[in-house]
Amino acid sequence: MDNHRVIREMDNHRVISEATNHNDNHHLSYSLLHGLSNNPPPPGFINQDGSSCFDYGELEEAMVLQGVNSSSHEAKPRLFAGGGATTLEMFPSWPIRTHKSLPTESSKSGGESSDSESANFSGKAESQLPESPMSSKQNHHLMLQHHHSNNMANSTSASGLPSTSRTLAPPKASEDKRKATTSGKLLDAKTLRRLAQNREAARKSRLRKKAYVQQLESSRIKLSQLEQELQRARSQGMFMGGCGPPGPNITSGAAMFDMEYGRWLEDENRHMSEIRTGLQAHLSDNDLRLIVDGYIAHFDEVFRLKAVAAKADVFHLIIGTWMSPAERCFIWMAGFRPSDFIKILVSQMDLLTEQQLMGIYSLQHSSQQAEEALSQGLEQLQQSLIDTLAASQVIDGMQQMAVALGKVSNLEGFIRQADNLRQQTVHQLRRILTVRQAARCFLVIGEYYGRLRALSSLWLSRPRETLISDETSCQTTTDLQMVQSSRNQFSNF
Amino acid sequence: MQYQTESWGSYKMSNIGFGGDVGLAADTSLLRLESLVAESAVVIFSVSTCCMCHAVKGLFRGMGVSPAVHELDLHPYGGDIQRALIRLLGCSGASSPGALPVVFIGGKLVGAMDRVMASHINGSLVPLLKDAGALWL
Repeated sequence: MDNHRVIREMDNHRVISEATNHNDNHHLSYSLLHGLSNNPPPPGFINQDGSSCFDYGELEEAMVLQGVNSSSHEAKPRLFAGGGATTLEMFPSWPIRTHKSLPTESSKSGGESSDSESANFSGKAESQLPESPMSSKQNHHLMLQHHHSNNMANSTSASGLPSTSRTLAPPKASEDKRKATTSGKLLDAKTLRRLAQNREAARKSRLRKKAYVQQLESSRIKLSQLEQELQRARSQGMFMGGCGPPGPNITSGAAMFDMEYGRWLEDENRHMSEIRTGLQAHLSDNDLRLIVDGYIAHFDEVFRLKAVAAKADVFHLIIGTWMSPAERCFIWMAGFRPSDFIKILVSQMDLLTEQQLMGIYSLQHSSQQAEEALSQGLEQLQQSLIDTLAASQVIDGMQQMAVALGKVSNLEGFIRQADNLRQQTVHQLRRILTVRQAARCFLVIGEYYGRLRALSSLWLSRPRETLISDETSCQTTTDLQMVQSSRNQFSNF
Repeated sequence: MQYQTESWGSYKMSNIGFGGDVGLAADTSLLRLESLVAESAVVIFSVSTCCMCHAVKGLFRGMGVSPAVHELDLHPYGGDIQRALIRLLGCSGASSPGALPVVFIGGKLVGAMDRVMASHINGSLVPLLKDAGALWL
């Protein structure tokens, strides 16, 4: 009974010893692992379900009962790091049978933690356990099998383990002598107390290890999900401004629009810098006019894209995942409010003639009235949909759906009218203002939205606590942030 | 007060090529349309269930204008008038959803919703309303 627990314990302690900085356990467990693996115990002793772990304390008890001098930890590794002869002496009643071979996979829960852990491991092992007999591959595989059955974790390869096992050379002579001298039982109060403490420590280590493994599993699943989404988003063309990755049911029209809008945003940045340098360089009015007209054509382009997208997938436009979150916060009918443009301008524009000022204010007034009219129309649409779908007495479900579909099809018209309103507002601004004023106005508006998009990115990547503890709160984090916090989790252990 | 509708002459001319009977029918429906349009300063042809029509009505009422609204789905000659409107606007399909609402101000055709919005934004709608006497101040 003790024997399979020995193997389990070795697994446990090799895994968590670095985390808990429990040097005693570490050295002993490593050497035990090597020593016992040389002489595999009967199959019955290998616990395949991996559910039960055993006490390191009990192992030590067993060794104490065998007459080991437990006061010096130096002695322990040597005693058990011997070859087949030493282990036979320790457990004389066991027949020696080959262990049932499990699929060899280089996996251990400790190894995936970090390379530094294995490096520490090899460092310690090398400096203080030179006599380890681990040179055979079979032993290596057995150790890994034990880990596999113990932890059922299929993770990254344990690169540290093979390297450490091969670096240790096994002189056996001195160990045998020391082993041969120990016989009889040594039990005193101090030893008993220490055994009890070790049991307690072992139990705690086991619980910690369980929790750690669970966290790792869930993090791994999350990470793979995120990677998939990222992959999908990349294949469809990633967009700027901190927008989230698309959901699983994105239509082709929507994906197309997202991609083209991403390109449009790049164009937007280019136009912005063009206008900025044009104003700073004090270009002539004619040159500036070309730049400004180019910018208006660029604006017309996005309305054209949206018109195509509205035909393909109007809901995608309305929901606005293609926008950055901060922009989406103020969304109105699949885009910005035309009167918002005026709001942005009013504080920034100076040196307007009286006529121009009148023009701007009447533009603000008329755009607000038009927005109000369209909003009322949309409310009417919703009311009509409620009347259709919320009917208690449904005679013909398909008929009801057909009518509802017809009503929903009106949404495209509203989005088209809203975009038309936006386009007209931009053109009217161009008409009211002089070339230079128009350039400054578009720069102000463009910079505002650019900063709003940057704000979204900053908001999404703001520092947060651990990945796991945030599960209860809602989150829309960027992939980078998730990966970073996942990495923090691993290094904490 | 009757409003001038002489701009329609050209429209009538272009539609004669449809053939005898149709041309006659077109004439009568256009005449009907003309008379309706001449009755009030602001005339809106709409459909009672259409939400965009609701929006355009809201727009004018919000400006303080009280338009004359003709719900063509409830009008005895609604179909005729709608066909005449479609011909006037130059739409291809007979039951094109984009046809309605259609707005006339002072007997003159303004157009469908997008034209109305554009004219409001570029500032031409209010003077038109004032000229037609639909808006004071």
